[in-house]
Amino acid sequence: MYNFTHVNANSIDDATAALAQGNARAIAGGTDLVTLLKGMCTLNPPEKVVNLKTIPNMNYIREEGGSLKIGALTTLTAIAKSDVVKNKYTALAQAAKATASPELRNTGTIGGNICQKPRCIYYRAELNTFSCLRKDPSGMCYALAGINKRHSIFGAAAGCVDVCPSDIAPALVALKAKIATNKKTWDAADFFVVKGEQINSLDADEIVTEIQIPEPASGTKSAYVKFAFRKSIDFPLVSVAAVISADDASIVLGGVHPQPRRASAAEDAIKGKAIDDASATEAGDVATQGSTALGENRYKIQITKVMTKRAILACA
Amino acid sequence: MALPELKVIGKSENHDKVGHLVASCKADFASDRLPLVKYYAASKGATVMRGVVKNVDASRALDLPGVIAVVTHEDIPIWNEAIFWWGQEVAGVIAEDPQTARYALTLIDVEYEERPGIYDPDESMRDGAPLIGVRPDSNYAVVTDLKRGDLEEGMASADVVLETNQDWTNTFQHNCMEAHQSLAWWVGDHVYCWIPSQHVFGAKNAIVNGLGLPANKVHVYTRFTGTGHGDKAGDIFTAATATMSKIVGGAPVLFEKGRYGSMLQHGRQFDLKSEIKWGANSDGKIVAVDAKFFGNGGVHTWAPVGNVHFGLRTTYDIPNANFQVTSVNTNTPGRSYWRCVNDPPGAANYDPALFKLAEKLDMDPYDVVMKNLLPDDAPDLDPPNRVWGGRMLKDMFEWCHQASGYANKYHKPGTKPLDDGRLHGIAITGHMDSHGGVNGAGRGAIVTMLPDGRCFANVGGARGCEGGPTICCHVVAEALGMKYEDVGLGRWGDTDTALDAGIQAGSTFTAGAGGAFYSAAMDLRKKLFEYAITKDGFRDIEGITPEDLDAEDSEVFYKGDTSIRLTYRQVMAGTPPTAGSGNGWGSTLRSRSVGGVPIGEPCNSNGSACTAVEVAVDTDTGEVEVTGMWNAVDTGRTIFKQGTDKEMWSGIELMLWQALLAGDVYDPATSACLSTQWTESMMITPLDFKGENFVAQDFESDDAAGPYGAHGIGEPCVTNYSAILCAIHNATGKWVDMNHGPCTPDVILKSLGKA
Ligand code: SF4
Repeated sequence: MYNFTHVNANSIDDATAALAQGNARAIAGGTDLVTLLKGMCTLNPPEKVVNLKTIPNMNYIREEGGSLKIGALTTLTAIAKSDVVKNKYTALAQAAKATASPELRNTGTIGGNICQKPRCIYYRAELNTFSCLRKDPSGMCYALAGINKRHSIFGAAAGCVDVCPSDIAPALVALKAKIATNKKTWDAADFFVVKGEQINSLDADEIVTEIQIPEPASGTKSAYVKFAFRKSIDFPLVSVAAVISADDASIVLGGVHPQPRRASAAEDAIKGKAIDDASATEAGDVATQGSTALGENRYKIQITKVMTKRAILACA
Repeated sequence: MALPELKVIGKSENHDKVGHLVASCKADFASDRLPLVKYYAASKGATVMRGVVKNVDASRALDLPGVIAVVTHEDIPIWNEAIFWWGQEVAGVIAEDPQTARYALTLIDVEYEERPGIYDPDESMRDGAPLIGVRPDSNYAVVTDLKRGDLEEGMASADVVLETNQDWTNTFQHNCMEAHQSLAWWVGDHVYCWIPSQHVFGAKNAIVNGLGLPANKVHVYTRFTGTGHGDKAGDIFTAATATMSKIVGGAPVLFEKGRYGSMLQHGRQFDLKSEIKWGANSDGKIVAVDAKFFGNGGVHTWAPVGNVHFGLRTTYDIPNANFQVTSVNTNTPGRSYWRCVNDPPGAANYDPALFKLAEKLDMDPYDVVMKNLLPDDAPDLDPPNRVWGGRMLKDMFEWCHQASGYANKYHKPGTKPLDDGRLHGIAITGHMDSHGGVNGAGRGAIVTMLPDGRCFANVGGARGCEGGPTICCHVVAEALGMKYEDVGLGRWGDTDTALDAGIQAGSTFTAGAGGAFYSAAMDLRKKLFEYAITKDGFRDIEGITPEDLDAEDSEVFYKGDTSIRLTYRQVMAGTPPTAGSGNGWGSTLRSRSVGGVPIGEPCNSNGSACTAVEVAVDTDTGEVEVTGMWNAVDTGRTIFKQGTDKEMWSGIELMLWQALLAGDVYDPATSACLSTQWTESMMITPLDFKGENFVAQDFESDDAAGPYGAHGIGEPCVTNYSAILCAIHNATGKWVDMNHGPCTPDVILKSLGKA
């Protein structure tokens, strides 16, 4: 564990000011940051950790002005159990429920989940044994020719073939969510990028404050399906968020690329069609168009096809 | 030794009467002794797979506030400048707090001269491969070579000859709940050390030998191990901790390996492959087997691979055979003991090989097994041809067959879809186990009675769990004729007050240590009865000898007139504390004659196990659901039913983990072990199996070797993950290539040609 100073923020302004001074990181549930600090696997360890959980009024789920608003400090358990999320934004409730374990969901927040650091086994090697590209621009990607069973099947982003580890991310992209911060409001589709050690575009002093999801058109159905080796606690090897209405389809893949990835061909294949085994299979089969397996992960192409099909069928 | 009959222990009708008094599960560990700790230590692993340390630059670490000292192989006697695996300790930091100690590791710069190393065991065995440095003139050695009958003639006489190859099974770390740690401090020229160890005297000897100290100046304590699985049997880093403490003037230093150090520097299960050639008649009778096994010991030349053939050798009646085991070394972390050391990987090789033979013969594998099963009352086929003290394989196979409904469920491989589209599979496997007997286990027990009549059982080993020690106290009570509640636990695991008990294996504790405690109690009983005949009440009886006395309910009485009695407190009045000591019983027929062999003759005393497994395999995703498991274990005698059930259920979980999820992950370029975190270790969780059709059934064979007929069961009950592999084959019709890892969905999809 690195040594650091712990600061409780009383407001977003407080937190912003604290983050702007020197090398600092925000903490909410801490389920990701603490493992990173304990493993000492960042080249840039924070001298200060700024606690956001002491900021009031950031834990809520409410419908307002034609959209669902979720405070960034809302726990994944609260989201998974919310009736309104389960009924109208099913993919998000299912993604929250599929995340980690009950204990971690009770602590982890939606804001934290979309601000995780990479889970690549080289990136996470304790004591910074492997100075990979995500930490050090002069480093290299060890996974490319090494252990890559869990890695991208759609190539690299900024030289990295790790996958976006968030269950929540593909659901937000598929639901066309917006992510509000203390500086601006992002389209979820633009939010998730490879930016050094980050999986998102945030500045060092930028804090996620709220998730906003437009209310789906009547008759829209959504689903999130996840594949992992264990039935609990694992990060997604492949996940699929599907949001399908009579004339539209949004299908977003997780766990297969450094960013959540729209499966445009699958969307086109299912759009406007009756959902049945044949149409779902057809869409699943084209979901992996453009994929290229690394040495160990050809199986993910097969799994992606099957999970896409199952996500679509779940929207029937 | 005369055997006074135990009235409760070992009687089937008394399963629920034992095991409830002493068990407390209140444990304290080395890191619980924090008030004692002044400094914390952590160590850094090498980042090359083979080479020599040329230079260690610790200047940046030493500049860090809170760092007290940096140590290298020049300071620590058990460390080495020659590097043989990625992760081998090269430097350590002693600091004022654990965070600083670990952070300072990142500030130590180590310069290496790299040498060629080998990660892949096949490459290591290749002709002309460079030496990896752990053996003088080779990278491998044949460690077992047993021959029976005439192999060539047997093969020539067979209707069918089949050569089978099984590729490498998985290697994985134990993931003990409590990571490795030890605490040491000095008082004058005496050193004291706490360590969670399964071999406390081994940990003591590491300091004695490493630091060249006289044994009476080294004091090592162990109490509990937060699980060990065999991985805490060879802990010698007490020598490093003691040295670190000496460097800081004898102040208490807690050396914590953490999950990371435990994964990199401690033992793990070995990976195993085989080439097995069968000769069989068309009716399924096997007439010859030529079985060659290859075990990857990593850097350990002593990796315990030599007995992997045991189940194949002892379960089946095969007249002509060759069993050969080769121990291969690689520049990877050393393999060591794991629960049931040899048998799970052994069975995961020879059971699939046997199923391949059945397929070739167009027979149900169960029929081939039953056709060739060595009868339970037959002696071992190999010299010295000893009888078995107790063996129940046939009954257990038949129970698995019946309980699982196998007769109605078996089908040809790859032929039975379920309603939901998945494929159904079922298999039964079982074998004698190289563990579970009383052979050699259990020694160094001491039973002490104080002048107030209280009695304590003591041994130089970790308590490990509470079931075994509880039973040992009960055994002492019965042997002495005391109430259970009058016998307590002494200072177990204290090298100052106990005798060397060897390696403590919780899973064979009741069978092994129980015998030693029985002997110790009988030794004490003799002394106490000698005291008793000198006391008022007994001494006036004409011609009385100790043989005229007996004891019950903590009272000694005269057999000629049971109303003449003294409590043990009265017997002990005016006498100093008195102790008896004893060793285990060894594998000799004691309670009855077997197969015409008289009591007193050496025998084989081993456990055995059998499992039926039913699976559903999703061929779209490669996911395997184990939908049923019927696990039978020959317990000899079930002593503590609750503990027995617990062991069996933990065995079921371990089998599922071992077959489906357990596997180290190594970077092929560097041989770095990357699975140091839970995401890659993939410990099994309750959500990974439903357990609806899971049954654990103990079978009592009453082994004639032990003091009360018990087998150790912790290990035999984890041996049958081969049944899962065979059931998957029955479902898909394909054999998986585990390639050193677990049978995860990607492996299944690969076998199906979908990945
Ligand atoms: S995949 Fe990304 S995180 Fe992993 S080693 Fe390559 S660059 Fe680093």
